[in-house]
Amino acid sequence: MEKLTKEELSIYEWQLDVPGHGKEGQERLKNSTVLVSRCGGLGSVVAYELAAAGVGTLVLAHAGNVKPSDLNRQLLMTHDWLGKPRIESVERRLRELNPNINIIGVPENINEDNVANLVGMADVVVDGAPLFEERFLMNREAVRQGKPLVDCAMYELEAQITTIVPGETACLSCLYPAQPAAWQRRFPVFGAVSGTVACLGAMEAIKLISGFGEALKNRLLTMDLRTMTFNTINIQTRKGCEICQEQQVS
Amino acid sequence: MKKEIKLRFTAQIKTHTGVDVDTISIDDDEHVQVVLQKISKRYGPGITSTLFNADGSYRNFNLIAVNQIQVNYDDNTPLNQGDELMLMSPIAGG
Ligand SMILES: [Zn+2]
Repeated sequence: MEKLTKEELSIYEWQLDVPGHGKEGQERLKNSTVLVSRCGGLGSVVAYELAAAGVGTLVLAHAGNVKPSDLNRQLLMTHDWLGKPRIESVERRLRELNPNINIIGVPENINEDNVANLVGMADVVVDGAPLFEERFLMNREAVRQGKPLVDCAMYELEAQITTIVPGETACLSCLYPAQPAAWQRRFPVFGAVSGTVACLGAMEAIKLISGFGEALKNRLLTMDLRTMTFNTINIQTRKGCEICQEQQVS
Repeated sequence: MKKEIKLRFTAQIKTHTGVDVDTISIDDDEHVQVVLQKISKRYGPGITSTLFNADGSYRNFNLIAVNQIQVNYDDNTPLNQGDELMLMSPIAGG
């Protein structure tokens, strides 16, 4: 395992004192890889926080070019990059923040062809993708490969997050056995909502890698920022979940 | 004996119902499945098509929680006076 340099010891000074984390935890972060699916409203902030925290390698999947409507919440996109590849804006801004980490930018969204390889590179996955096909595909692959998956979602002023640990917790398909019939691709949201749940998602990834605290295992945290109501739903593996069953068989 | 059940709706479910909280009254021998049927009747076609197929069978893409614990529609979990049933649809990122 690669040790922390003198420079890193000073950069991470404030978090090295976090009980349960320390130098060992920071070294685990340095030697870890996190896959972030899409660097939109959620993934931008997840990636930013993980880069700031010193996660050694970030694999970031995000297709398309920067559009004006990205800018209210996709905080790694900038005006000067309108019309140019989003992933370049993502890489540039993360390197400004932390030049010491490895950033692997993938100009693609998660699909059947790339999912196994990308999940295979990661110790932990954080999903902030907007399409259910991508999210259920990621869930299937993460469970298949036994990789922890932090699943973050938002709608209007509401958000949900849970941490899926294959073999230990319910998966996304346990919660939602079928994909919803209708889903508006564009939905109302503020960047402060995606940013809130993204910071929680980044914290989950940090805790999983460093090995302290209690992750949101078998718990779905829901929040409504309109009323500042937070609830924790106890969730469980669903009998007959094809995704979890496949893992048990293999 | 009638039982009052608290209802809580989130995200897209809330856009169908128009309210985030409500209460519903059920008979002593009625459970989760009846509450969902009553919700469907009370709030109209948007919520009905979210919950049920045209043939009336349950559409399995919502999360039902009673007193903040996930339950399965098929289990038709019994409810007590004052219980809270929360109905959530999956949401995504972006
Ligand atoms: Zn499952």
